[in-house]
Amino acid sequence: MSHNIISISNLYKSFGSTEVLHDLSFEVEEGEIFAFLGANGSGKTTTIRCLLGICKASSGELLIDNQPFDYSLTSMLGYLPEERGLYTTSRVLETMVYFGEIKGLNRKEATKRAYEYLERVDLLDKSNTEIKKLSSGQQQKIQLGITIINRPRLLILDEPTKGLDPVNRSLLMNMLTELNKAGSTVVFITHQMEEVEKIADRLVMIKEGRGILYGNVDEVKRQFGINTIHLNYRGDLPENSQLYTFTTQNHFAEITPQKNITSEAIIRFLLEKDIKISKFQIAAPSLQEIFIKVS
Amino acid sequence: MKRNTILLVAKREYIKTVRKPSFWIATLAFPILILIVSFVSGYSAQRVEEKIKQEAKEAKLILIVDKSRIIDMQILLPPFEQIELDKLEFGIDRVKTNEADALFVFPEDIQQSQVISIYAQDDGLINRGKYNDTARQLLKQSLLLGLEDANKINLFNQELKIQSTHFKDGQEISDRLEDFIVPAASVILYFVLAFLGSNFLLMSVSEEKENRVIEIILSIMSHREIIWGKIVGLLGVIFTQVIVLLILGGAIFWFSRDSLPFSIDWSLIPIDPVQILISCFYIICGFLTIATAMVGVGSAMPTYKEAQSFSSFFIMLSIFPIYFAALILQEPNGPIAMVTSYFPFTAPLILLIRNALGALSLWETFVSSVILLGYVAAGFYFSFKLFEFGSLEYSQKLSLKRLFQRR
Repeated sequence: MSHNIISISNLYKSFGSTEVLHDLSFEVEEGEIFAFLGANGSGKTTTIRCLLGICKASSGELLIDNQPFDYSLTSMLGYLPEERGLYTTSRVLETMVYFGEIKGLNRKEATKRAYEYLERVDLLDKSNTEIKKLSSGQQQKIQLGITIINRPRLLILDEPTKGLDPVNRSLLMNMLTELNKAGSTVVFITHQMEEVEKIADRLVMIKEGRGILYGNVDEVKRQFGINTIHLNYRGDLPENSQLYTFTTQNHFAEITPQKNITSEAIIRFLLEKDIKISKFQIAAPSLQEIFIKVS
Repeated sequence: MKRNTILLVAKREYIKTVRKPSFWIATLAFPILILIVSFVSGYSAQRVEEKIKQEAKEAKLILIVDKSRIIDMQILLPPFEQIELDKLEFGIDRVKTNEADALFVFPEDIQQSQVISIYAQDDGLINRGKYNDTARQLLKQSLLLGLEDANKINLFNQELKIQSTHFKDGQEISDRLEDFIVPAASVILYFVLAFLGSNFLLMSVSEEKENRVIEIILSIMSHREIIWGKIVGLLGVIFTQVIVLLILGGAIFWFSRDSLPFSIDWSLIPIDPVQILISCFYIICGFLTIATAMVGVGSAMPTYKEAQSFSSFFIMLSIFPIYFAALILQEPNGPIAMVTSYFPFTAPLILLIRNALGALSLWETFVSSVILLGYVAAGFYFSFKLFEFGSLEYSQKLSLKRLFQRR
């Protein structure tokens, strides 16, 4: 039986008269990679802050490893917030060791792990460099390093790839996958849907503080998405709002069938209208399309 | 593993601060600041001195015991009144009971000792020398009337010393330089804690906010642990500063001891454990009041620059008493001293000075201590609240409305 490392039930949060989270519930199973999605301002960061005791929930139950957050959980947690930074005038190694120590490691172990990580991300030669002298990509690597120095069971990352170039983004994604394989549960907030499709097992999507999609990535795509028809054609594509809607450019059309209309019915109609079809493909909707539609 | 996060934060704050060149610049510049403050205070004292001279002229009765037989009877007009030589004790009693304002004693061997003794009612620290010029002038005017005497001419040309004895509530009180070493040290310590220390705390809070590192820290430890860690670390910084200043001051004193216009007999420095304990209490309360204000300001303002300009308001309030220090010294139980003794930011320094002057009754010491503790508690309450709400407000000032919302 799977164990829920995060369990959020009926979470409400208001700032003054503004309600930002409304009856939000979801669970994260231990060992999975879980994506937390939603448009800007939908309440993702507030949810995480409530979970980690940085904000107080107005009501609801928030559990980590079956208990409400307290600072005894620090050693099993790694949190990389969206608004993140470092002590810019401090040196790389001392910063990493400091964070290791406040997360419960002894100095020797924290130093050992810091060196290991710096070697892994090719920054060993920067261990005595002031952080402000590093590039932004290098600083992001250090930020991730201090987040995972305690080898957390639960890793929560708020837009971890924000500001990273494609090479470093790929490196980070690989590292998250590795951490997950090593036993860490990874929860990450992102707007990059291809990252979710690539590594996430399950997701929750929220809109204006309410959960709107939740479950296995493939299931969500199946449940929510309507297959679209990709078409290369010749002729003038006729409008028929009872059967479909479409977008077209340079004799390529993406046709979205109306509810309960099959692709066969649409093709039959187009052939009857003397449309010459050179290529026909039924495409599953991407998370990107779903995200744009629902948010 | 049990973490001692307060000590870890304190250690980091300590190392980070003492490594900064600005720490050493501020520490070494501090004596210069003290000199400037002394100058301002001295100027203020000069203005008060003029007032004192005026007050001396307004004396109603000054008794004269002239064992030297130099004082000319012709110039002994009221308020002067000569008394018989064997009535010295009686004269002192008249001063003690406030029947006479002062008693001047011109000793028989004045040409050798060159000392005039003055007995007077205590009228505040600043006023203690108010009859000195009067006594000197009295002697000099008398001497001028018999200048044919070579000895008298010689005496006239001497810089006469004054040996004064003061009474308060019928008791003789001391005004040796050594008596002021401990009070002066406590005021200097307060300045180091309050102004150098609090600025480092403001920098530290603002830095974490500006660097956006605070949210990571808040997911690891509570805001209370962060604030306490910073305060403990800062106390370590200040301890280092005090040691450096002591070494520096000691070295300067040692190398210039022969050219100083005064000498200090270290064995005569009075150590009153109760008074020192009370002073320490006022210093710590004063430091915590300013420190919590700095935490609050640093949390509420988005940048160090904005925080610094806002914090200067509290700094100014705290050093405000310096501008009327002379008045406080003259009247330690006067209305200004009393009012400022209970105002949050001025209270610690004023109480410290009044305690050093022995102007605080047991009852007032108790009441002021309770009130100061109240200010410290309020300071912590608001600084915790401001830190909770303000530390994550990266780009805007924390509004009062937001402060009183639920986190």
